[in-house]
Amino acid sequence: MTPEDVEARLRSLRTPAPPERLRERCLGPHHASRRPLATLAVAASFLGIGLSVWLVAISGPKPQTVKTIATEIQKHPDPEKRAADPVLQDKVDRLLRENPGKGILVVRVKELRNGTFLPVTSGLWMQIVLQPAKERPDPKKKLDRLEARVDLDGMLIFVATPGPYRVGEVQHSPGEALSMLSFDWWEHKEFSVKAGEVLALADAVFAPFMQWSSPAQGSTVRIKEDPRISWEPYPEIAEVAIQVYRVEKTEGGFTPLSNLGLLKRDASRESGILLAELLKALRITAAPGDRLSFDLSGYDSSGRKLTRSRARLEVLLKE
Amino acid sequence: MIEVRMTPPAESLGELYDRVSRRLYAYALSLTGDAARSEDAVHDAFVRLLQYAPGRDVKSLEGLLFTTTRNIILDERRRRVVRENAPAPLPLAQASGEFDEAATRALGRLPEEQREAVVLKIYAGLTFAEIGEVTGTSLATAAGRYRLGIEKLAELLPRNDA
Repeated sequence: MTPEDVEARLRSLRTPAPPERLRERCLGPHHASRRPLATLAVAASFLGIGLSVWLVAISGPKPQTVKTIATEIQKHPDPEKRAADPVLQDKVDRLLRENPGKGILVVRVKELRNGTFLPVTSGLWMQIVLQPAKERPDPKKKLDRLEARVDLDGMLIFVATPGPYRVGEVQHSPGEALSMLSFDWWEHKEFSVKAGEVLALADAVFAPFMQWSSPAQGSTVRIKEDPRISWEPYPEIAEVAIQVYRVEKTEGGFTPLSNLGLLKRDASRESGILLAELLKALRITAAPGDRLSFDLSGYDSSGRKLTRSRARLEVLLKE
Repeated sequence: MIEVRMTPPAESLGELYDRVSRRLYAYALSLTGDAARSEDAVHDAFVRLLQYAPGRDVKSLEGLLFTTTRNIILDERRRRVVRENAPAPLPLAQASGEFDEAATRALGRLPEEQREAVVLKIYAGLTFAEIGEVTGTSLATAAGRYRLGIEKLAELLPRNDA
């Protein structure tokens, strides 16, 4: 073979494509240095299956409250599809072997950035308390508190005892960067944890707060001029909920708020509402001297709460 | 190649990834022989890119990514206590998707610096000057390693496999 033949032959050949998840990892908002070895085994599978499995077995992450599993579990919630991937099946089997009789709950964590949902791969700890679905909450009964840290695949993995549940309590601790974002996770549906199975709960999303654009915070507005209550456009928001309060007189250092009502409104076209229209819709009678406060929640097209205003907008009404 | 004088915006970073990831991953695979370590190295290179590029005058983002990936892999090798065997060869496939065992095996038998030059030239699409920058050698050395590698492959690859 001539060198030219060799070059032509090599150029005609293709190298392996990187795994799809690598794109998300590289462009994701939070970078961590190393993948857990348990996850590493999946990626290594198409080169050296036996070595990878051995590595995981002898030097995987130390057992914690919750063990991590691979992204592919989320991609293949169907056990039959998981079974088609022997390495992944091995990981699931091993995780369940370490937690006999348990089931696995998965929450995918994402950050909305520049219109794209990117996986959050570090900086979040979350604890959920599972309340038995058919029982009334009993404060004397001790419930399991499940804890997890988000893994490098952007997932919170909880190992749970089988049974029908609803989420009873959620606590979370975000890292510094995430703490600047809105976060409001809850699984509203009841669900059933089954031994040996993986169940995906609602995704958790960190999103930028909604920003008020007018009137200015703490400003005085004339009722006659019918000012517009508006916020910065937020393309991912399909519907907003505007909560209106009246700020009452301060007594004993405490300023109570009276809840005057909540108006849900399509936000796909407009990012604001005239004050008169808002007050009329909620049948609020406002007078000069009243101090009103507004809260904003944003929902995506599926009705899921995505974000909210960071601070209440407060204005003083004037004739 | 693109010139960068500031933090790459998210869109261009995505475009950069789409343009370079396959070549960078192939290069990392040729050095490590391990998919997971290659994935980590490419990932860490992108992380370092984001940390390094802001405010700096970077001549070539692609070149920086290749150099960083190489440094990450070599640093990791040095840290490993147990001496490794030669890495598994970079798997090569024909356009039909069929694994080309002869070419893969032949490439794997090259001395590492020659294999690296061949991979960077053929599969990463770098010039000899860029290969020299990535590997810390001169243009002439990079070209020489490539030529020796190709000549060695000409001996290793049986004619009937062509």
